[in-house]
Amino acid sequence: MTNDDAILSAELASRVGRLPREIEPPGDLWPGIAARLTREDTSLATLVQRLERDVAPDRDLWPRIEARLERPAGIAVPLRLSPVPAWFATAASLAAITVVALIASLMFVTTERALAPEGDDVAQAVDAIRAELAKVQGERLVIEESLQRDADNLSLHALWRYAYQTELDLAGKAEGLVDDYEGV
Amino acid sequence: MSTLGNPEPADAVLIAAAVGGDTAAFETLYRRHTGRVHGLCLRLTQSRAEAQDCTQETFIRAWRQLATFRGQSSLSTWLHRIALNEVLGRKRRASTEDRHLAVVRLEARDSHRGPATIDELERAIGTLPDRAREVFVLQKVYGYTHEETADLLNIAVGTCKAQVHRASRLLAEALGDTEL
Repeated sequence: MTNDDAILSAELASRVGRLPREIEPPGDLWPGIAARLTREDTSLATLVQRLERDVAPDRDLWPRIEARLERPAGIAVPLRLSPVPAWFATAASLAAITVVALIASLMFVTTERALAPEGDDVAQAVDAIRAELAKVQGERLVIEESLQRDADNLSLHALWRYAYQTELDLAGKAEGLVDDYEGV
Repeated sequence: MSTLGNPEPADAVLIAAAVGGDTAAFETLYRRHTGRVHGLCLRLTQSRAEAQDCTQETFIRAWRQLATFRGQSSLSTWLHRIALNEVLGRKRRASTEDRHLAVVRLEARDSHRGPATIDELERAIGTLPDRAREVFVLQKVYGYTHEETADLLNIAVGTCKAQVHRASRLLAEALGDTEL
């Protein structure tokens, strides 16, 4: 028996322990959730599937992306655009992989370095985040270039949203770290 | 997905399917875990509307992030973590609500005759200060340890112990617990 258990009578402690863990919502929330999922359709796998179907049908991207998620690392893949049609599949595929890798890298940075940084660690974490931010911004620009050539490509739109959201998240993390360090 | 002979596919199977874009698999996960997520949201927000919003956002975030779920904790715990972030994020954004703790506590005590009913218990838990309630609910209702609770809330274990002690004392007072 812990100290806090001793404060409550055995009967009351027992009653608390028997409170229901599950409380169903009064209505079915699934239709609303399903509508959002369909409208936003932002799962990583869905984006990759779209790219494989619409942009790079000869590539199986998911295993490569999943492998990077297993061991996150910020890897910038050089992108070379060419006027021939093949440039598009290559550029979009590499952009997808790089954006996903950077998202994974963000997770690595926040979990391994930024959760409890102190002193110099804060500066290092902020620098790391800023470096990632620069990479994501670069990739977003590449995606925007691709969009200029294929404005109706939904996969590129979704990738652009991912990149932009990642930029916002990275900027927020950097700002939060600085605020925490400065005691704001 | 065949369910012959296996009417209840494991979470891991459903997660793999959902990561592949199978919304039906994700719906099964939703139906399996929504009560636990909504229960936590309701107890922490003390608002039906907020709890439903938080539950909905939790599953939408889970769908977006499912590819990053590595199974280091149970799906249930992972969902609780997302739900907690959603609830706490909303609280930070919203202005602090005056819960009139003393008045409610007094009313609860005055109305108490004999053992607390489930409703009285839930109401009394609802009057606890935010942090104390979060810690108490996670530990005493959902069975998380001090360490797990501290990790979920991103607080020190010592703080966690102090808050659950505080919550227990306040709850005993609110319910006029006889062994106080």
